[in-house]
Amino acid sequence: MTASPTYQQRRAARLDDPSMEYLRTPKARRLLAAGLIGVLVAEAVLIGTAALLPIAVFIGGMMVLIIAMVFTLGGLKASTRGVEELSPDVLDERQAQIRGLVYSMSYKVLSVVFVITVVLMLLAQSPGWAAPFEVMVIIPVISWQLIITIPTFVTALRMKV
Amino acid sequence: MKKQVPDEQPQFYTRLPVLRAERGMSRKELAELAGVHYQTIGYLERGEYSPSLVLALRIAAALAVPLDAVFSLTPFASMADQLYNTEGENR
Repeated sequence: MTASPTYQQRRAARLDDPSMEYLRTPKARRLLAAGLIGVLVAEAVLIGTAALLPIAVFIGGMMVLIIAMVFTLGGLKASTRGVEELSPDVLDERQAQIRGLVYSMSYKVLSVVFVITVVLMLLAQSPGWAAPFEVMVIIPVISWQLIITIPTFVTALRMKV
Repeated sequence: MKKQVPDEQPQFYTRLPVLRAERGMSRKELAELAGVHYQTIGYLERGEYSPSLVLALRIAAALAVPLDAVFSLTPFASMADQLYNTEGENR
């Protein structure tokens, strides 16, 4: 009896789907990365203007943006074959090496994003800038989303996968 | 840390494409035998990735040749030269 594939093996097989080959070109990766940045910017704008919008428009807009994010992030992960998120158990030695490089580069980018987030949060709370509540929401929400997607951005834009 | 892919000279030389073609194997078939992704075979064939000793041994075993028939630190003589000794005759 053969053992059934683990979650990681199924995920690896899905992200390595040959029908997604058209996403694995540098141009497609750049477009997907730009699309994901666009979604994050649109999200910031939507949160920033939430007070001016009817609640139904805000919720509808967020739903659309979440769906767009799922598709762009999913496409980006398929374009990298998911080497940045998969466990080393399902990667070969070259892919595991790339994964290591991705995380060392992501660590540097993440440090910069973290510092920018902290500085913006401190500025937003400083007496000189009476930042509206929306700004206090946008900064951590967008930073968090950016931080969790940094390894995927680094893999898609900097690695040969 | 040393770069994996040097700018000028290759770190190693390989006969992998020739041996694989000789055996009528696809990259995917060889990759399955060696336990790696098929893309990795492509990177090895182009000299863009240096394999671990274990992987090099697995590839040599899959091709049923000694390790030094697949990978070398010095350039390989061409197959024609080796088969017909044309290099010696030309001198």
